[in-house]
Amino acid sequence: MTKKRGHFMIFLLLAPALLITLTFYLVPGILTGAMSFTNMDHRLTWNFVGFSNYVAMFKDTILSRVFWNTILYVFGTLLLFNVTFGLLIALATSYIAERHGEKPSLFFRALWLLPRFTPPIVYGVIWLWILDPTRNGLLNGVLNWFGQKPVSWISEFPMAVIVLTNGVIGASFGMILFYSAITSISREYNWAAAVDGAGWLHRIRYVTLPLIRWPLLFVTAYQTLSLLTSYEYILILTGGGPFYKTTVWSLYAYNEAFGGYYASYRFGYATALTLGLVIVSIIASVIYWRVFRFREMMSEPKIEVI
Amino acid sequence: MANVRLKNLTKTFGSVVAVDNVSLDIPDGKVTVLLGPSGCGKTTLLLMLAGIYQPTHGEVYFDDVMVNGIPPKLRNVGLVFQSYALYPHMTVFDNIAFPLRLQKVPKDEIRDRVHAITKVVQISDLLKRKPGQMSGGQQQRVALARALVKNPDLLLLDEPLSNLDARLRIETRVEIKRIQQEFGITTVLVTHDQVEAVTMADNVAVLKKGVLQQYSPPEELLLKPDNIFVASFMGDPPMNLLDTELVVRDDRAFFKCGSELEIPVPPEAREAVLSRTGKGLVIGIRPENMSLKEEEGDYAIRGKVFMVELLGRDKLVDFRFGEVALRVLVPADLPVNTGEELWIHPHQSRIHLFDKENSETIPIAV
Ligand SMILES: Nc1ncnc2c1ncn2[C@@H]1O[C@H](COP(=O)(O)OP(=O)(O)OP(=O)(O)O)[C@@H](O)[C@H]1O
Ligand SMILES: [Mg+2]
Repeated sequence: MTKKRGHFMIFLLLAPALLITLTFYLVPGILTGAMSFTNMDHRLTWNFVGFSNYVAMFKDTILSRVFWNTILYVFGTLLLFNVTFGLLIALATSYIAERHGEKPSLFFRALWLLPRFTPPIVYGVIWLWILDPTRNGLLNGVLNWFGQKPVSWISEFPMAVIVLTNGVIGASFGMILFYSAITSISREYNWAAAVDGAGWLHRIRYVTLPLIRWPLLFVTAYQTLSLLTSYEYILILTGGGPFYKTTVWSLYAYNEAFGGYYASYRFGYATALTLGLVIVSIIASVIYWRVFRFREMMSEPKIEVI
Repeated sequence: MANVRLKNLTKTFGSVVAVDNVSLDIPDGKVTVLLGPSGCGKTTLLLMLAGIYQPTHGEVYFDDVMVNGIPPKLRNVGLVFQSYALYPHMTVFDNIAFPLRLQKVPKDEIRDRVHAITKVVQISDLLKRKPGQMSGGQQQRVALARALVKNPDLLLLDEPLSNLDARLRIETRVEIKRIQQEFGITTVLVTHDQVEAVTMADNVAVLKKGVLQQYSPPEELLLKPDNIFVASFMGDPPMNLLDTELVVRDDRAFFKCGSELEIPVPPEAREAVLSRTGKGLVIGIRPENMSLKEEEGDYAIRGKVFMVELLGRDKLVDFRFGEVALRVLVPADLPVNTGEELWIHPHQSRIHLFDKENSETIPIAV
């Protein structure tokens, strides 16, 4: 009797969360899966067409371009900015904190965090202004000062632009994690290394980096997944163009569904693309899990610094 | 090898004065111990020798070369940290090889030197382990090997034995001393353990709140303490230190402690002491510098045993004279009972006298 009531209590307590998960996650998930087997368009009719969307995906020559764009975008942003640049800011600000106190260090970190607090539209518009092809743009204004001709940054270097704009935002995530990891390393390791004859470069290479290995791997894996599904800044800045040059997988799916400049409302095909991306993400996760040996991190405490 | 000289060395952290105007000559090839209670600035002083901290004032000289501002990597010092600070991600071999790799020593030579030094500190069978897989004592040996492998001019040890159990501490003490003598390395060892200081040191520098109290060979710390702090810090059980003043009655002089205890002034001391009549003094007698007898003597004191405490081979006999306590150390086999009345015979030449005002010693016996 009491046991049954206990089960009922558990169910009652879980119900709200369960309801939310069901209505907003599981049901749409199933609907999306189902939709990918239809040729639904702006008329929103459920017309099942079997695997034809998936067959079309393999024949889609644009998708193969989009795939390579995605690889370039994700790993370019990740390696240049989210990990490397984030690490550089973290190293620099931790050095500043050690030499000149916590306050100036906090100031610089807050500066790099600003883009994260800025609404995406505002952030995008700021970049549009910076990169404007006329003399009114910031960069071209500067060039003009030196007597140079204006450059159409976005149409000439579209991929570089979206990597840069995403990277400037993305670096702050790594920065925060790396900074806290670096400052939690006992000072004595660095002192020991200094006495052993290591300069600052050696200390980073042989002491700091090995000791922040787990945050490094975590940021790499986590940011890969979030970059795979993020397209909002690309949408604002280039819309995916010029001519698919900056269309990544998630943006392609978005454009197929809700219309970019080739507006088509092909919901069936768009959902198939989305499910394809989910599979790519799962494969990436499994690879990271294996290669980075995350099980080790989960199974024992990895705070190697005392 | 090197001899090291500190001149008016001061280090402050904000408003905290960690090391206060310390001048010290650290002789070549000897063990110099920095001794003092926790927080007295021992580690800070050591880190200035290593070049990790820069002095706020004063200078450090290695063989008459001023080394202020010279970074640690150019000083050729070996340092064993209080916490060992072994690199947790490296094996024992890699930890010890690290300084040599940075010096770009050829691979074969690295291997030979690491193997040689690990034989000396007896950890040859642990080379593949990581620091997390070793006991405190083993880690301490690895840290020592890492410090020694580069043949340093100066070896700095920060409480290297504090994490060890009593038995291992004694063994390792002997081992460090042996290694130091074998290599003849100038060594500075930090400790707050006076037994460690006395057994290891050629010279001991006693520090209190960053200020140097006394710098002398260890025997002298016990026989001729420069002030009350050194007298009370050194020796176990601690010295009896009693507030006193000089009284003269019937042409005989006494140290009067409280209302009930009078210690006769030894004849050798009369001259030096009489001028201090009426001034605040502190008399110090170590418990082991008194004996208990049934029979009276010229300068003996009659006392009643208040308590007896057995300390292994010795026992500590506690006498009370009103509110004043006097403790005497005697062999454990001497029969002494609570309540018994006995004669206490202080060893006349071992009585210490201090000025209560500035706590400095007043030389009495010759
Ligand atoms: N980096 C620092 N910042 C501020 N104060 C410090 C710093 N390092 C040491 N101190 C202070 O300086 C004093 C001396 O510290 P130090 O570590 O040298 O003591 P110690 O004699 O080695 O003590 P222990 O025996 O506990 O190791 C202490 O009061 C300590 O609080
Ligand atoms: Mg210390």
